[in-house]
Amino acid sequence: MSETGAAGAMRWLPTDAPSFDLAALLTLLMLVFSASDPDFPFMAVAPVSVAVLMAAVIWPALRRSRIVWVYIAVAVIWARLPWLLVMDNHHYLIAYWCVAVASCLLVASTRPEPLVNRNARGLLGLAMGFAVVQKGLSGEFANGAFFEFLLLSGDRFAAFSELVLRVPAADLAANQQVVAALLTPGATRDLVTEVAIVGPSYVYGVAVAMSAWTLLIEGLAAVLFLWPASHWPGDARRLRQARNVALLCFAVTTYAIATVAGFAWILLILGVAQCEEDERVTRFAYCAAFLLVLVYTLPWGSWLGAGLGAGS
Amino acid sequence: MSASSPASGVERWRPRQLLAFVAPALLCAVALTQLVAVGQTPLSRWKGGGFGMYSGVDSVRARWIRAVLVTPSGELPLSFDRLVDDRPGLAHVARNARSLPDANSLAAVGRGLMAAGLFADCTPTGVRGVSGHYVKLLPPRQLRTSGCRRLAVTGLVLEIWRYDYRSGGGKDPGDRRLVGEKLVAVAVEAAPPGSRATEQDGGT
Repeated sequence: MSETGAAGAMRWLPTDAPSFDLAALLTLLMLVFSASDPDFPFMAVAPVSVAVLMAAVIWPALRRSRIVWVYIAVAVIWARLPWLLVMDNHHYLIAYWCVAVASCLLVASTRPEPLVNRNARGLLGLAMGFAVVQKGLSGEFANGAFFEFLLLSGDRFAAFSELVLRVPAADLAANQQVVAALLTPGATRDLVTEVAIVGPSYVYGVAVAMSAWTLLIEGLAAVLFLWPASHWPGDARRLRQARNVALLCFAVTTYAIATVAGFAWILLILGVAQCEEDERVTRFAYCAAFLLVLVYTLPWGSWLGAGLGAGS
Repeated sequence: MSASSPASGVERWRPRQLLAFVAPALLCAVALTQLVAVGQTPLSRWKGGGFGMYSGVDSVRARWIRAVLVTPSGELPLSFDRLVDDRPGLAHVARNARSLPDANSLAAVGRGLMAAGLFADCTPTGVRGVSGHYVKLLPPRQLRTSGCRRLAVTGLVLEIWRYDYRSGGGKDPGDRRLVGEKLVAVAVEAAPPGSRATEQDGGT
Protein backbone atom coordinates (compact mmCIF):
# COMPACT_ATOMS: atom_id res chain seq x y z
CA MET A 1 0.00 0.00 0.00
CA SER A 2 1.51 3.39 -0.98
CA GLU A 3 1.66 6.28 1.46
CA THR A 4 0.14 8.72 -1.06
CA GLY A 5 -2.66 6.40 -2.11
CA ALA A 6 -3.90 5.95 1.41
CA ALA A 7 -3.28 9.52 2.53
CA GLY A 8 -6.73 10.81 1.68
CA ALA A 9 -8.57 8.03 3.40
CA MET A 10 -6.30 8.28 6.44
CA ARG A 11 -7.48 11.82 7.14
CA TRP A 12 -10.76 10.60 8.60
CA LEU A 13 -9.22 7.76 10.59
CA PRO A 14 -7.08 8.60 13.64
CA THR A 15 -4.15 6.58 12.30
CA ASP A 16 -1.84 9.49 13.15
CA ALA A 17 -2.41 8.73 16.81
CA PRO A 18 0.18 6.55 18.51
CA SER A 19 -0.59 2.83 18.30
CA PHE A 20 -1.48 2.66 21.97
CA ASP A 21 -4.06 5.46 21.76
CA LEU A 22 -5.65 4.06 18.62
CA ALA A 23 -5.79 0.53 20.06
CA ALA A 24 -7.27 1.88 23.29
CA LEU A 25 -9.93 3.81 21.39
CA LEU A 26 -10.90 0.78 19.27
CA THR A 27 -11.04 -1.40 22.40
CA LEU A 28 -13.34 1.05 24.15
CA LEU A 29 -15.61 1.25 21.10
CA MET A 30 -15.75 -2.53 20.87
CA LEU A 31 -16.68 -2.79 24.55
CA VAL A 32 -19.36 -0.11 24.15
CA PHE A 33 -20.89 -2.07 21.28
CA SER A 34 -20.73 -5.36 23.19
CA ALA A 35 -22.47 -3.72 26.16
CA SER A 36 -25.70 -3.75 24.20
CA ASP A 37 -25.45 -7.42 23.21
CA PRO A 38 -28.74 -8.85 24.51
CA ASP A 39 -27.50 -12.46 24.40
CA PHE A 40 -24.38 -11.82 26.37
CA PRO A 41 -24.68 -8.97 28.86
CA PHE A 42 -20.98 -8.69 29.58
CA MET A 43 -21.14 -5.20 30.86
CA ALA A 44 -24.08 -6.06 33.06
CA VAL A 45 -22.39 -4.01 35.73
CA ALA A 46 -23.49 -1.10 33.50
CA PRO A 47 -24.62 1.67 33.39
CA VAL A 48 -21.57 2.78 35.40
CA SER A 49 -19.29 0.79 33.11
CA VAL A 50 -20.85 2.17 29.95
CA ALA A 51 -20.46 5.69 31.38
CA VAL A 52 -16.76 5.03 32.06
CA LEU A 53 -16.27 3.61 28.56
CA MET A 54 -18.04 6.55 26.93
CA ALA A 55 -16.08 9.07 28.98
CA ALA A 56 -12.82 7.43 27.88
CA VAL A 57 -13.97 7.44 24.26
CA ILE A 58 -14.71 11.17 24.45
CA TRP A 59 -11.72 12.38 26.55
CA PRO A 60 -8.38 11.12 25.20
CA ALA A 61 -6.62 11.72 28.54
CA LEU A 62 -8.80 9.06 30.17
CA ARG A 63 -7.57 6.49 27.65
CA ARG A 64 -4.21 6.56 29.42
CA SER A 65 -5.64 6.57 32.93
CA ARG A 66 -4.54 3.58 34.96
CA ILE A 67 -7.62 3.95 37.19
CA VAL A 68 -9.93 3.76 34.19
CA TRP A 69 -8.20 0.68 32.76
CA VAL A 70 -8.02 -1.14 36.09
CA TYR A 71 -11.76 -0.49 36.45
CA ILE A 72 -12.42 -1.74 32.91
CA ALA A 73 -10.27 -4.87 33.42
CA VAL A 74 -12.01 -5.72 36.70
CA ALA A 75 -15.49 -5.03 35.25
CA VAL A 76 -14.82 -7.11 32.14
CA ILE A 77 -13.51 -10.06 34.16
CA TRP A 78 -16.27 -9.77 36.77
CA ALA A 79 -18.95 -9.77 34.10
CA ARG A 80 -17.41 -12.85 32.43
CA LEU A 81 -16.99 -15.03 35.52
CA PRO A 82 -20.43 -16.73 35.38
CA TRP A 83 -19.90 -17.45 31.68
CA LEU A 84 -16.47 -19.12 31.79
CA LEU A 85 -17.76 -22.45 30.45
CA VAL A 86 -20.10 -20.92 27.93
CA MET A 87 -18.40 -17.91 26.36
CA ASP A 88 -16.43 -17.94 23.13
CA ASN A 89 -12.65 -17.69 23.17
CA HIS A 90 -12.48 -14.10 21.94
CA HIS A 91 -14.21 -12.99 25.13
CA TYR A 92 -11.27 -14.50 27.03
CA LEU A 93 -8.88 -12.67 24.72
CA ILE A 94 -10.68 -9.36 25.24
CA ALA A 95 -10.36 -9.84 29.01
CA TYR A 96 -6.64 -10.65 28.73
CA TRP A 97 -6.13 -7.56 26.60
CA CYS A 98 -7.88 -5.31 29.14
CA VAL A 99 -5.71 -6.83 31.87
CA ALA A 100 -2.62 -6.25 29.73
CA VAL A 101 -3.40 -2.56 29.19
CA ALA A 102 -4.18 -2.02 32.87
CA SER A 103 -1.05 -3.82 34.05
CA CYS A 104 1.22 -2.00 31.58
CA LEU A 105 -0.17 1.34 32.74
CA LEU A 106 0.42 0.30 36.36
CA VAL A 107 4.04 -0.54 35.60
CA ALA A 108 4.83 2.36 33.25
CA SER A 109 2.10 4.97 33.24
CA THR A 110 4.06 7.68 31.41
CA ARG A 111 5.29 5.51 28.56
CA PRO A 112 3.44 2.18 28.41
CA GLU A 113 3.91 1.70 24.64
CA PRO A 114 6.84 -0.78 24.63
CA LEU A 115 5.16 -3.00 27.22
CA VAL A 116 1.77 -2.81 25.51
CA ASN A 117 3.44 -3.60 22.20
CA ARG A 118 5.06 -6.73 23.65
CA ASN A 119 1.86 -7.84 25.39
CA ALA A 120 -0.14 -7.47 22.18
CA ARG A 121 2.42 -9.51 20.24
CA GLY A 122 2.50 -12.15 22.97
CA LEU A 123 -1.27 -12.46 23.16
CA LEU A 124 -1.55 -12.71 19.36
CA GLY A 125 1.17 -15.33 19.09
CA LEU A 126 -0.16 -17.39 21.98
CA ALA A 127 -3.78 -17.28 20.81
CA MET A 128 -2.73 -18.37 17.32
CA GLY A 129 -0.35 -20.97 18.71
CA PHE A 130 -2.94 -22.60 20.96
CA ALA A 131 -5.47 -22.55 18.09
CA VAL A 132 -2.98 -24.47 15.93
CA VAL A 133 -2.26 -26.97 18.72
CA GLN A 134 -5.99 -27.59 19.23
CA LYS A 135 -6.54 -28.11 15.51
CA GLY A 136 -3.54 -30.42 15.32
CA LEU A 137 -4.84 -32.51 18.23
CA SER A 138 -8.29 -32.77 16.69
CA GLY A 139 -8.04 -35.49 14.05
CA GLU A 140 -11.19 -34.39 12.24
CA PHE A 141 -9.69 -30.96 11.50
CA ALA A 142 -6.49 -32.22 9.93
CA ASN A 143 -8.27 -34.80 7.73
CA GLY A 144 -10.81 -32.29 6.40
CA ALA A 145 -13.88 -33.90 7.98
CA PHE A 146 -14.65 -30.87 10.15
CA PHE A 147 -14.76 -28.36 7.29
CA GLU A 148 -16.63 -30.87 5.14
CA PHE A 149 -19.34 -31.03 7.78
CA LEU A 150 -19.42 -27.23 8.19
CA LEU A 151 -19.77 -26.74 4.45
CA LEU A 152 -22.57 -29.29 4.16
CA SER A 153 -24.52 -28.77 7.38
CA GLY A 154 -26.24 -25.64 6.08
CA ASP A 155 -25.46 -23.79 9.28
CA ARG A 156 -22.51 -21.40 9.77
CA PHE A 157 -21.11 -21.56 6.23
CA ALA A 158 -24.41 -21.90 4.37
CA ALA A 159 -24.01 -18.72 2.29
CA PHE A 160 -20.45 -19.61 1.25
CA SER A 161 -21.45 -23.19 0.40
CA GLU A 162 -24.39 -22.18 -1.71
CA LEU A 163 -23.05 -19.07 -3.44
CA VAL A 164 -19.38 -19.94 -3.91
CA LEU A 165 -19.20 -23.75 -3.87
CA ARG A 166 -22.59 -24.18 -5.57
CA VAL A 167 -23.72 -26.88 -3.17
CA PRO A 168 -27.38 -27.50 -4.07
CA ALA A 169 -29.72 -25.61 -1.75
CA ALA A 170 -31.84 -28.74 -1.48
CA ASP A 171 -28.87 -30.67 -0.03
CA LEU A 172 -28.17 -27.93 2.51
CA ALA A 173 -31.84 -27.77 3.51
CA ALA A 174 -32.04 -31.56 3.84
CA ASN A 175 -28.92 -31.62 6.04
CA GLN A 176 -30.24 -28.78 8.16
CA GLN A 177 -33.44 -30.75 8.67
CA VAL A 178 -31.75 -33.97 9.78
CA VAL A 179 -29.41 -32.09 12.15
CA ALA A 180 -32.48 -30.39 13.67
CA ALA A 181 -34.12 -33.80 14.08
CA LEU A 182 -31.11 -34.95 16.09
CA LEU A 183 -31.03 -31.80 18.22
CA THR A 184 -34.74 -31.73 19.11
CA PRO A 185 -35.46 -35.21 20.37
CA GLY A 186 -38.74 -34.17 22.04
CA ALA A 187 -40.28 -33.33 18.69
CA THR A 188 -40.33 -36.86 17.33
CA ARG A 189 -41.73 -40.13 18.60
CA ASP A 190 -38.58 -42.17 18.02
CA LEU A 191 -35.14 -41.30 19.32
CA VAL A 192 -33.00 -40.46 16.28
CA THR A 193 -29.34 -41.32 16.84
CA GLU A 194 -27.95 -41.51 13.31
CA VAL A 195 -28.62 -39.48 10.19
CA ALA A 196 -27.06 -39.26 6.71
CA ILE A 197 -25.45 -36.05 5.39
CA VAL A 198 -25.75 -35.46 1.65
CA GLY A 199 -23.85 -33.26 -0.80
CA PRO A 200 -21.42 -33.31 -3.74
CA SER A 201 -18.17 -35.22 -3.27
CA TYR A 202 -15.94 -32.29 -4.37
CA VAL A 203 -16.73 -30.52 -1.09
CA TYR A 204 -14.24 -32.81 0.62
CA GLY A 205 -11.37 -31.50 -1.52
CA VAL A 206 -12.34 -27.91 -0.71
CA ALA A 207 -12.52 -28.85 2.99
CA VAL A 208 -8.99 -30.32 2.93
CA ALA A 209 -7.67 -27.17 1.22
CA MET A 210 -9.40 -24.95 3.81
CA SER A 211 -7.92 -27.01 6.67
CA ALA A 212 -4.43 -26.75 5.18
CA TRP A 213 -4.73 -22.99 4.60
CA THR A 214 -5.99 -22.38 8.14
CA LEU A 215 -3.18 -24.41 9.71
CA LEU A 216 -0.62 -22.69 7.51
CA ILE A 217 -1.70 -19.10 8.13
CA GLU A 218 -2.38 -19.56 11.86
CA GLY A 219 0.88 -21.42 12.35
CA LEU A 220 2.83 -18.80 10.42
CA ALA A 221 1.25 -15.97 12.42
CA ALA A 222 2.00 -17.75 15.71
CA VAL A 223 5.67 -18.24 14.83
CA LEU A 224 6.12 -14.70 13.52
CA PHE A 225 4.50 -13.04 16.54
CA LEU A 226 6.31 -15.18 19.11
CA TRP A 227 9.73 -14.92 17.45
CA PRO A 228 11.72 -12.21 19.26
CA ALA A 229 12.87 -9.50 16.85
CA SER A 230 16.28 -9.48 18.52
CA HIS A 231 16.83 -13.12 17.47
CA TRP A 232 15.48 -12.74 13.93
CA PRO A 233 18.14 -13.74 11.39
CA GLY A 234 17.84 -10.66 9.20
CA ASP A 235 16.21 -7.26 8.99
CA ALA A 236 13.83 -6.87 11.97
CA ARG A 237 11.70 -4.53 9.87
CA ARG A 238 10.97 -7.42 7.51
CA LEU A 239 9.80 -9.49 10.47
CA ARG A 240 7.39 -6.73 11.48
CA GLN A 241 6.06 -6.52 7.92
CA ALA A 242 5.63 -10.29 7.74
CA ARG A 243 3.69 -10.30 11.04
CA ASN A 244 1.32 -7.64 9.81
CA VAL A 245 0.80 -9.28 6.42
CA ALA A 246 0.11 -12.66 8.07
CA LEU A 247 -2.39 -11.23 10.56
CA LEU A 248 -4.20 -9.09 7.98
CA CYS A 249 -4.28 -12.00 5.57
CA PHE A 250 -5.71 -14.27 8.26
CA ALA A 251 -8.39 -11.77 9.32
CA VAL A 252 -9.45 -10.80 5.80
CA THR A 253 -9.71 -14.39 4.51
CA THR A 254 -10.95 -16.24 7.60
CA TYR A 255 -13.67 -13.86 8.72
CA ALA A 256 -15.06 -13.52 5.21
CA ILE A 257 -16.34 -17.07 5.73
CA ALA A 258 -16.56 -17.47 9.50
CA THR A 259 -18.15 -14.15 10.38
CA VAL A 260 -17.19 -13.99 14.06
CA ALA A 261 -16.76 -10.23 14.15
CA GLY A 262 -15.79 -10.07 17.83
CA PHE A 263 -12.82 -12.35 17.31
CA ALA A 264 -11.66 -10.51 14.21
CA TRP A 265 -11.90 -7.16 15.98
CA ILE A 266 -9.87 -8.14 19.03
CA LEU A 267 -7.17 -9.64 16.77
CA LEU A 268 -7.05 -6.46 14.69
CA ILE A 269 -6.92 -4.28 17.82
CA LEU A 270 -3.96 -6.33 19.03
CA GLY A 271 -2.48 -5.85 15.56
CA VAL A 272 -2.78 -2.08 15.91
CA ALA A 273 -1.32 -2.17 19.43
CA GLN A 274 1.81 -4.04 18.32
CA CYS A 275 2.54 -1.57 15.49
CA GLU A 276 5.61 0.60 15.86
CA GLU A 277 4.96 4.35 15.86
CA ASP A 278 6.26 4.79 12.30
CA GLU A 279 3.90 2.14 10.87
CA ARG A 280 1.17 4.58 9.98
CA VAL A 281 0.05 2.83 6.81
CA THR A 282 -0.14 -0.50 8.62
CA ARG A 283 -2.35 1.05 11.29
CA PHE A 284 -4.59 2.33 8.53
CA ALA A 285 -4.72 -1.17 7.00
CA TYR A 286 -5.80 -2.62 10.37
CA CYS A 287 -8.51 0.04 10.69
CA ALA A 288 -9.71 -0.70 7.16
CA ALA A 289 -9.82 -4.42 7.98
CA PHE A 290 -11.76 -3.56 11.15
CA LEU A 291 -14.44 -1.93 8.99
CA LEU A 292 -14.28 -4.69 6.37
CA VAL A 293 -15.16 -7.25 9.04
CA LEU A 294 -18.20 -5.13 9.86
CA VAL A 295 -19.17 -5.34 6.17
CA TYR A 296 -18.71 -9.13 6.30
CA THR A 297 -21.34 -9.40 9.02
CA LEU A 298 -24.05 -7.97 6.76
CA PRO A 299 -26.56 -10.63 5.57
CA TRP A 300 -24.94 -11.11 2.15
CA GLY A 301 -26.23 -14.69 1.92
CA SER A 302 -29.88 -13.72 2.04
CA TRP A 303 -29.38 -10.62 -0.15
CA LEU A 304 -27.45 -12.41 -2.88
CA GLY A 305 -29.56 -15.54 -2.48
CA ALA A 306 -32.71 -13.47 -2.96
CA GLY A 307 -31.12 -11.72 -5.95
CA LEU A 308 -30.10 -15.00 -7.56
CA GLY A 309 -33.49 -16.48 -6.79
CA ALA A 310 -35.23 -13.53 -8.41
CA GLY A 311 -32.97 -13.73 -11.45
CA SER A 312 -33.42 -17.45 -12.05
CA MET B 1 11.26 -3.84 31.08
CA SER B 2 14.42 -3.88 33.11
CA ALA B 3 15.73 -1.40 35.65
CA SER B 4 19.40 -0.54 35.72
CA SER B 5 21.29 0.17 38.89
CA PRO B 6 23.44 3.30 38.35
CA ALA B 7 26.03 2.07 40.83
CA SER B 8 26.68 -1.33 39.37
CA GLY B 9 25.45 -0.86 35.80
CA VAL B 10 23.76 -4.25 36.17
CA GLU B 11 20.14 -4.49 35.05
CA ARG B 12 17.78 -5.57 37.83
CA TRP B 13 14.17 -6.76 37.72
CA ARG B 14 11.70 -5.17 40.04
CA PRO B 15 8.90 -7.47 41.24
CA ARG B 16 6.36 -4.88 40.14
CA GLN B 17 7.49 -5.29 36.54
CA LEU B 18 6.24 -8.86 36.56
CA LEU B 19 2.78 -7.29 36.45
CA ALA B 20 3.40 -6.54 32.80
CA PHE B 21 3.39 -10.29 32.05
CA VAL B 22 0.19 -11.13 33.90
CA ALA B 23 -2.01 -11.23 30.78
CA PRO B 24 0.10 -13.63 28.65
CA ALA B 25 0.72 -15.78 31.74
CA LEU B 26 -3.01 -15.92 32.44
CA LEU B 27 -3.70 -16.90 28.83
CA CYS B 28 -1.17 -19.74 29.00
CA ALA B 29 -2.45 -21.00 32.37
CA VAL B 30 -6.10 -21.08 31.26
CA ALA B 31 -5.37 -22.56 27.82
CA LEU B 32 -3.11 -25.31 29.21
CA THR B 33 -5.70 -26.17 31.87
CA GLN B 34 -8.37 -26.35 29.15
CA LEU B 35 -6.17 -28.62 27.01
CA VAL B 36 -5.75 -31.03 29.92
CA ALA B 37 -9.48 -30.83 30.74
CA VAL B 38 -10.44 -31.65 27.13
CA GLY B 39 -8.34 -34.81 27.38
CA GLN B 40 -9.66 -35.85 30.80
CA THR B 41 -13.31 -34.76 30.71
CA PRO B 42 -16.09 -34.31 28.13
CA LEU B 43 -15.38 -30.54 28.00
CA SER B 44 -16.06 -29.22 24.49
CA ARG B 45 -12.84 -28.24 22.73
CA TRP B 46 -14.56 -25.00 21.67
CA LYS B 47 -15.11 -23.81 25.24
CA GLY B 48 -13.07 -23.04 28.32
CA GLY B 49 -10.54 -20.58 26.89
CA GLY B 50 -8.24 -23.01 25.09
CA PHE B 51 -8.69 -21.42 21.63
CA GLY B 52 -10.10 -24.67 20.24
CA MET B 53 -12.91 -23.00 18.29
CA TYR B 54 -13.37 -24.34 14.76
CA SER B 55 -11.13 -27.30 15.52
CA GLY B 56 -13.78 -30.01 15.52
CA VAL B 57 -17.47 -30.79 15.18
CA ASP B 58 -18.01 -31.18 18.93
CA SER B 59 -19.12 -27.62 19.72
CA VAL B 60 -21.91 -26.82 22.16
CA ARG B 61 -24.23 -26.58 19.15
CA ALA B 62 -23.53 -30.26 18.55
CA ARG B 63 -24.75 -31.18 22.02
CA TRP B 64 -28.30 -31.41 23.27
CA ILE B 65 -30.25 -32.38 26.35
CA ARG B 66 -32.93 -35.02 26.05
CA ALA B 67 -35.68 -34.92 28.66
CA VAL B 68 -38.01 -37.84 29.28
CA LEU B 69 -40.87 -37.79 31.76
CA VAL B 70 -41.50 -41.12 33.44
CA THR B 71 -45.19 -41.77 34.07
CA PRO B 72 -47.08 -44.91 35.14
CA SER B 73 -48.33 -45.23 31.57
CA GLY B 74 -44.87 -44.99 29.99
CA GLU B 75 -42.13 -42.58 28.96
CA LEU B 76 -42.95 -39.17 27.54
CA PRO B 77 -40.13 -37.32 25.71
CA LEU B 78 -40.24 -33.53 26.13
CA SER B 79 -38.59 -30.53 24.51
CA PHE B 80 -35.98 -29.60 27.12
CA ASP B 81 -35.29 -26.15 25.68
CA ARG B 82 -38.93 -25.15 26.08
CA LEU B 83 -39.02 -26.46 29.65
CA VAL B 84 -36.20 -24.10 30.70
CA ASP B 85 -37.22 -21.28 28.38
CA ASP B 86 -38.64 -19.03 31.08
CA ARG B 87 -36.33 -20.32 33.83
CA PRO B 88 -33.02 -18.47 33.19
CA GLY B 89 -31.29 -19.89 36.27
CA LEU B 90 -31.86 -23.49 35.17
CA ALA B 91 -31.11 -22.60 31.55
CA HIS B 92 -27.73 -21.22 32.61
CA VAL B 93 -26.83 -24.37 34.57
CA ALA B 94 -27.94 -26.43 31.57
CA ARG B 95 -25.76 -24.38 29.19
CA ASN B 96 -22.75 -24.97 31.44
CA ALA B 97 -23.60 -28.67 31.58
CA ARG B 98 -23.63 -28.87 27.79
CA SER B 99 -20.10 -27.40 27.68
CA LEU B 100 -18.82 -29.62 30.45
CA PRO B 101 -21.33 -32.42 31.01
CA ASP B 102 -21.47 -33.76 34.54
CA ALA B 103 -24.11 -35.69 36.43
CA ASN B 104 -24.28 -33.27 39.37
CA SER B 105 -25.17 -30.23 37.25
CA LEU B 106 -27.67 -32.22 35.26
CA ALA B 107 -29.25 -33.58 38.43
CA ALA B 108 -29.48 -30.04 39.78
CA VAL B 109 -31.36 -29.02 36.65
CA GLY B 110 -33.66 -32.03 37.04
CA ARG B 111 -34.38 -31.23 40.68
CA GLY B 112 -34.97 -27.61 39.75
CA LEU B 113 -37.51 -28.61 37.12
CA MET B 114 -39.28 -31.03 39.45
CA ALA B 115 -39.50 -28.32 42.08
CA ALA B 116 -40.60 -25.64 39.61
CA GLY B 117 -44.14 -26.91 39.29
CA LEU B 118 -46.34 -29.76 38.21
CA PHE B 119 -46.26 -31.47 34.83
CA ALA B 120 -49.61 -31.16 33.16
CA ASP B 121 -51.19 -32.41 29.96
CA CYS B 122 -52.46 -29.25 28.34
CA THR B 123 -53.60 -30.59 25.01
CA PRO B 124 -53.85 -28.74 22.66
CA THR B 125 -51.54 -25.89 23.88
CA GLY B 126 -48.09 -26.13 25.41
CA VAL B 127 -44.90 -28.07 24.88
CA ARG B 128 -45.49 -30.84 22.40
CA GLY B 129 -44.51 -34.33 23.49
CA VAL B 130 -45.10 -37.61 21.69
CA SER B 131 -48.33 -39.62 21.57
CA GLY B 132 -50.35 -36.47 21.01
CA HIS B 133 -49.56 -35.05 24.46
CA TYR B 134 -48.90 -31.39 25.04
CA VAL B 135 -47.02 -31.14 28.30
CA LYS B 136 -46.43 -28.00 30.36
CA LEU B 137 -44.67 -27.37 33.63
CA LEU B 138 -47.08 -25.22 35.62
CA PRO B 139 -47.01 -23.72 39.12
CA PRO B 140 -49.66 -25.48 41.29
CA ARG B 141 -51.83 -22.36 41.52
CA GLN B 142 -51.85 -21.94 37.76
CA LEU B 143 -52.69 -25.60 37.24
CA ARG B 144 -56.06 -25.17 38.94
CA THR B 145 -57.14 -22.41 36.59
CA SER B 146 -55.42 -23.66 33.42
CA GLY B 147 -57.84 -26.39 32.50
CA CYS B 148 -54.89 -28.79 32.15
CA ARG B 149 -54.83 -32.28 33.54
CA ARG B 150 -52.11 -33.05 36.07
CA LEU B 151 -49.83 -35.88 34.96
CA ALA B 152 -48.87 -38.58 37.42
CA VAL B 153 -45.07 -38.37 37.21
CA THR B 154 -42.74 -40.86 38.85
CA GLY B 155 -39.50 -39.34 37.61
CA LEU B 156 -37.60 -37.26 35.06
CA VAL B 157 -34.69 -38.57 32.99
CA LEU B 158 -32.19 -36.06 31.60
CA GLU B 159 -29.47 -37.02 29.15
CA ILE B 160 -26.75 -34.98 27.45
CA TRP B 161 -25.94 -36.12 23.92
CA ARG B 162 -23.52 -35.03 21.25
CA TYR B 163 -23.16 -35.94 17.64
CA ASP B 164 -20.04 -37.14 15.92
CA TYR B 165 -19.40 -36.72 12.18
CA ARG B 166 -18.20 -39.75 10.26
CA SER B 167 -17.00 -39.22 6.71
CA GLY B 168 -15.62 -41.51 4.04
CA GLY B 169 -13.11 -38.81 3.08
CA GLY B 170 -14.67 -37.83 -0.24
CA LYS B 171 -14.41 -41.33 -1.73
CA ASP B 172 -18.00 -42.23 -0.98
CA PRO B 173 -20.35 -39.25 -0.47
CA GLY B 174 -23.01 -41.70 0.71
CA ASP B 175 -20.84 -42.58 3.68
CA ARG B 176 -21.30 -39.26 5.50
CA ARG B 177 -23.17 -39.69 8.76
CA LEU B 178 -23.88 -37.94 12.03
CA VAL B 179 -23.99 -40.35 14.92
CA GLY B 180 -25.42 -39.45 18.32
CA GLU B 181 -23.55 -40.42 21.47
CA LYS B 182 -24.89 -40.21 25.03
CA LEU B 183 -22.45 -38.42 27.38
CA VAL B 184 -24.28 -38.29 30.72
CA ALA B 185 -27.67 -39.38 32.03
CA VAL B 186 -29.44 -38.83 35.34
CA ALA B 187 -32.83 -39.92 36.62
CA VAL B 188 -34.56 -37.70 39.17
CA GLU B 189 -37.35 -39.39 41.05
CA ALA B 190 -40.51 -37.52 41.86
CA ALA B 191 -40.55 -36.91 45.59
CA PRO B 192 -43.59 -37.64 47.74
CA PRO B 193 -45.51 -34.45 48.61
CA GLY B 194 -43.60 -32.34 51.15
CA SER B 195 -40.17 -33.86 50.48
CA ARG B 196 -37.37 -33.10 47.97
CA ALA B 197 -36.78 -34.91 44.71
CA THR B 198 -34.04 -37.56 44.69
CA GLU B 199 -31.80 -38.43 41.78
CA GLN B 200 -29.94 -41.47 40.50
CA ASP B 201 -26.73 -41.00 38.55
CA GLY B 202 -26.91 -42.97 35.36
CA GLY B 203 -23.84 -41.36 33.78
CA THR B 204 -22.11 -43.25 31.03
